[in-house]
Amino acid sequence: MSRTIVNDRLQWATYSFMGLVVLAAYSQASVQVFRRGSVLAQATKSKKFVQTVVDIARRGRILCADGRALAQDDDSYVLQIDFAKVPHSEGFFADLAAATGTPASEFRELALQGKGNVVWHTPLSQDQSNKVREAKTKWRANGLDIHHSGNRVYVLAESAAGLVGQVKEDKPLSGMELSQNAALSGKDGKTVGLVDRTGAFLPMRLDKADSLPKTDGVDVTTTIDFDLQEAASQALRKSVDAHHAEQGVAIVMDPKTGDILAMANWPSFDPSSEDGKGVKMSRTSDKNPATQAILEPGSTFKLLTLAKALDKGVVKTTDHFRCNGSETVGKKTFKCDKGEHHGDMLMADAIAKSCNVTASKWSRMIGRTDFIQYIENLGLLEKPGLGLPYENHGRFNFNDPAQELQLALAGFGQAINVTPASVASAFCMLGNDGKLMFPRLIAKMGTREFPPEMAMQVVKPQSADTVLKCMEAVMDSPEGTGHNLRIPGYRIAGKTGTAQVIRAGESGGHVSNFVGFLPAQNPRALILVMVDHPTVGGYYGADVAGPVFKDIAKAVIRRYGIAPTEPLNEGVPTDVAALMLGGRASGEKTPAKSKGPVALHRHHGATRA
Amino acid sequence: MKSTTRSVYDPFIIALACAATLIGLLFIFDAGYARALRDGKGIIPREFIVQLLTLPIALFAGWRAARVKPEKWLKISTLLWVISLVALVLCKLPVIGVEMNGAHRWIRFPFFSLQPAEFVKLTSVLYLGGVLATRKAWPSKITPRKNFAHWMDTICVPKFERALPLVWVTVAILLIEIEPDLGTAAVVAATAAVMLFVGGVSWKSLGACLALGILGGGLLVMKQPYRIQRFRDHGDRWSADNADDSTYQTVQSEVAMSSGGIVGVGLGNGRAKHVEPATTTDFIMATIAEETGLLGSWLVLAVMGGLSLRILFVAKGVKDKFRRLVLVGVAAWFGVQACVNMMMANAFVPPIGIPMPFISSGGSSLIALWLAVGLCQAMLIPASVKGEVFAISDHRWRNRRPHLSGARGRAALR
Repeated sequence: MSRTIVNDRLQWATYSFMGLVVLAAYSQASVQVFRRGSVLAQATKSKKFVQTVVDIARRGRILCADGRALAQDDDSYVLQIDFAKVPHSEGFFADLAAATGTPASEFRELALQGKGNVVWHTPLSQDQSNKVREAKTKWRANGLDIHHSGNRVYVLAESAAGLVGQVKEDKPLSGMELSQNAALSGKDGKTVGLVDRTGAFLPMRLDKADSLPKTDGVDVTTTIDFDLQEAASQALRKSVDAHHAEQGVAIVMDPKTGDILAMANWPSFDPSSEDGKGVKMSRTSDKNPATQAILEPGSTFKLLTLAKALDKGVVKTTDHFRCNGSETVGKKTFKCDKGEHHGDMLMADAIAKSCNVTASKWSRMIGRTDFIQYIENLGLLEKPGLGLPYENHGRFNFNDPAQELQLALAGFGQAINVTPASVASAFCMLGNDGKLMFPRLIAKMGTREFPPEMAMQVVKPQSADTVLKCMEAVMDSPEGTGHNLRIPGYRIAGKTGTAQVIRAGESGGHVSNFVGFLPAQNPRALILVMVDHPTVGGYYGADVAGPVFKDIAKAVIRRYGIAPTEPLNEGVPTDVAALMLGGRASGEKTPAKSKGPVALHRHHGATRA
Repeated sequence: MKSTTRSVYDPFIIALACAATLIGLLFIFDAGYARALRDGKGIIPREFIVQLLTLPIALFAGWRAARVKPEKWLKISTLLWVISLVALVLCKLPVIGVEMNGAHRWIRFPFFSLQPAEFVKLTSVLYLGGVLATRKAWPSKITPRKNFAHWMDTICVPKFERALPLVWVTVAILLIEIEPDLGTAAVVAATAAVMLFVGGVSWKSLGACLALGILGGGLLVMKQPYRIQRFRDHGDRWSADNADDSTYQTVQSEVAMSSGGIVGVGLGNGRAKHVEPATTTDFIMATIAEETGLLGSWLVLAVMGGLSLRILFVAKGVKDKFRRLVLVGVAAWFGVQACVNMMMANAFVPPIGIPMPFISSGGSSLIALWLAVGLCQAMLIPASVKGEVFAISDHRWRNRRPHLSGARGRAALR
């Protein structure tokens, strides 16, 4: 070979090499300058540049007063494996088996079958999930995903569903879950930064400015008593089912504090069932009628009328009232129930016999201005303010042209619409020496406490006490509408009510009510029961709502271990008897209570009912 | 005759190699510290320590190599070649060879291990240089074929003998390829191709080599189709499946380089070091380009390209064929490796494991590279007898005038 050829070829090699260098320089410039924007855009799009991971805040629990949970997240995790994207290695399956407790052979078989995504619904514990994550990192198993199941557990299920509500797929739908969502949900955290191949964040390359720590939701502690809530729901269910009623509400409150101890409604639904509609039985199932329904309170309202009348001094315990079975006010005539003529009777009898005519007299004696002031003071026209969603407020037509008639009707609980919760709260005043407490459902949110708060002294203690005794008479008097609902050994104050309701497009029906205190003296609990549209087996308060009251009252006795104070099957306590006799020395009508010395022996004869 | 050899004949080559080595040390530390910290092994990466410990050995090896005269190199080139072939086989043996990540690339020694393939790059240059320089020209006139035996004697056997060295080189390439180390095999093949070309092999033979190369490559691809898949994945490297898997490194490197832009994100601020698996070796350019921008990457290219061009430049002035071919071989090796590494890191070509010479970490590689630098100096040792010295200084960097210094130079001129 001649030297020229060699030199020529060397020259060519040199030129080629220069070309290669230029190509390299160009390709470098292409990535770093010309295509820079598109590469970065693509990187951002495919999450290869910076990744944002949302750290889901834990939802707070809804608790009973005693700390038992009504609703809480279960601490479980769900495993998901895409077998196309995990190593098909014995070691990996073995690690996975050790972490999850599922046999390795199961993973191996699924892998051999070439399965796509497989989800394990058996929830894993926190500890197990950490081990799975370790295995994922160790084996670079990109197809393995483990996430919080986010299942919400409702301990009382349908027994408290109307109150507690429901969260479905992280969306609050009803109840406290909805109204207290802001506190319960907390704030999701966010981690922004570079991730390595396994998706783990690089601690040195976290974007501190954009990252947020998560704030867990706070626990909401209610005043609800777990046992009473369950008992109230069961009792109500029994009655609503038996009487084919449209719906029912039962509220148990502590008159001293205004605490809601139970708030049950039926029909209800199972909040944790798959479709969330489980046992929903009617259009009202997922509503909470205690705060959302507005109803005429009916006969039970006479108690409040009487309290004010006594307080104002327009009615005295010894006053007699005359009932002709009907009364005409203005152009309209209203009747007592069944058009019964109650004749001449004492104040306590008027309550026991639930005389509409007499109650209408009381309200007119109070006077319109005072009466309106009174129902406003009681908070009947306001929202209950319990922290529940869609709370309703009571209605009273201030512009009714027939003012006198309206007042007369209002005296026995018609021509006025209230929510069950607010009327229950108003009744509580009677058992608390006339002191009205604001109703309270939420006792604590996180560490913030909401102590019981008094609204005002609505009536004098004596007036409230007298009404309470009249309510005892309802139970004790053989003619009283609550006579059959007595619980031996206990003094109980109660009042039935049967309101007629007329709704647009419906032929009408009844709301069967019962309100009562247990025990009658120094009461521990107020129980309000309202059953709407019972269609089978009567509709009277004593028949429909009464048994619910009795069941709940028994539950209250069990729950608080209240000892009986009265001899079994003994007569009416003297103080009540005195009231029933209107101050007469002894009564022929109620022979049992005339035994003077009995009162002394009562405590000795006490046994648990 | 007194031995009058020096160690430095072309300071340019040395200076550029030094510059590249220093850049390498800086970025091996820079690219490696993140992982070292993450693994809880302190801030100093292991690769950096190895590189630092190997550097004196490499420099010493280079200095020694520079002092060995070309004639001596020519004499031992075949021996070195045989040794390196044996070493390649030893890698595969169970006790002597080291297996790492399924690859058999290392030979175990007490306290350290070596990667023979890196040295094959050097010995193949020497071997091919020797073969091509010493072979006799094919007789221009061959007596016409009389019979089969005559044809065998005059054409077939001599032809085969001439081609035999190429067979050995092919064997070496295949041995490296099945380690597997496609990148090193490709560098050896490319270097050999350049040497054959510059060495004056006829177009006909070059064509035959090319055809055989394509055929062999095709066979390899048919045998292992995943190689084709690699090319396909590269084109589709941003798809969700690939970006986390087969093309992860390329994608991350591309992102890092792009975010670097023209001036870079600043030394130490890069992200590639956190995410790249081969952050101090094959993909060290990702960190360099990201942190120092296009300017920094071009500087690296300028240093490495300058080094290769400088060697090619001095090669032109060398008359002796062996010396010239060795210089060309070394230049091709450095240059091809540097350019392909850069284009691989910036996703211009699919990833084949080729490190950046002098800059990527790797003990065996550094020793082989500095041996090559020394070899280049040795190839410039004057032939020591009369007049030959002028041949060397034909294209010396000072005004194309004879550049001689000291007593030896003057003695030579006398």
